[in-house]
Amino acid sequence: MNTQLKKGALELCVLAVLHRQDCYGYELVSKISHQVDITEGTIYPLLRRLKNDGLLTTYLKESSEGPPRKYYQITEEGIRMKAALVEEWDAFVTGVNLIVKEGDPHV
Amino acid sequence: MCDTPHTKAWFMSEMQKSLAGLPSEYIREVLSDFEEHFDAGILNGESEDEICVRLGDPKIIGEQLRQEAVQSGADVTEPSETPPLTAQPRPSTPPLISGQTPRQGPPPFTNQGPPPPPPPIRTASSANGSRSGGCLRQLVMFCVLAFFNLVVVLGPWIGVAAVLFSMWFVAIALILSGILCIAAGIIAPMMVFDWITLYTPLSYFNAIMAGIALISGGILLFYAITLLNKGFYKLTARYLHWNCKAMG
Repeated sequence: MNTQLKKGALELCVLAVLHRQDCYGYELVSKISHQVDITEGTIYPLLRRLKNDGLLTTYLKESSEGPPRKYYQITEEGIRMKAALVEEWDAFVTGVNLIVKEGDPHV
Repeated sequence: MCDTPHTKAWFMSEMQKSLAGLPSEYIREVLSDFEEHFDAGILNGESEDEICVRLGDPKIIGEQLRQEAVQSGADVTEPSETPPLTAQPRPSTPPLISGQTPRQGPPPFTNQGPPPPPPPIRTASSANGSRSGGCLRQLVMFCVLAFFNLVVVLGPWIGVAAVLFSMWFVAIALILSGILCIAAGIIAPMMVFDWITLYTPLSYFNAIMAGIALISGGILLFYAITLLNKGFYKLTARYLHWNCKAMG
């Protein structure tokens, strides 16, 4: 699948998952990779960038299974960004589907 | 890649290699993230090899991390081969839809930097000083320095340079005369001229010794001049450099 398209959508996926609940790294990566075929490792640079941009924060939480885990949490700005991305994505997908499946009479 | 066992250790080592040059704190953080990932995966029943395969090529991930580090303004000591400046737009989000104007709040893809053309690194865009005030100041400094250099510095500089230059010839002269002395000391006894008889055998010995002394003196002077010249050269270069810096 087109890598650029994937990368663009990945940010939306990360924010969408974290909007529902805070996750630790492996958990977040697994949730996404179960639905979308991606190179899991590339999510981590993305997470760093999103954190630098203020869309996420991290915190440590004690784990019963070992050392404390780093959890990712969406911020207010992240929620706003996610909403904007969802809008764009919906419009984009709708447009593409129109063109591909039904054919836009204006095209 | 099929021959190397895909273990956690292998992954971490490859990751560390591809992050070489980045701040150690950054590397430590990144490695700790992946440690956690492996630990969680193993707890989940996956094998290290499976986790490696799903994570992907550590070199590629490392490269993305490096780009992210540079763009976030981290102090990178080793330049990456693909400077974000000239690479394609940031590896993450290209605008899904072009031409869509934002409706409210921060426009969606712009917090990653201005849309294409590729955003300049924040750290690289720090130009030198202010514009108009700087130009005038530079001009004034140039005049002052030019005046000072011409009147005060140039004369003595030429003098020193001339002395150093002439020293070369002194050294050559010393060596030549030394050679001649030795030659005289050796050859003269072999020649039979009337006036030779005035000189005792000791004179010939003296001549040879004097010759050796002259030659050694010449060689030492040669060496000394080389050092002096280098020093003078460096001094001049540093002075000129200081001039440039003073002008800003």
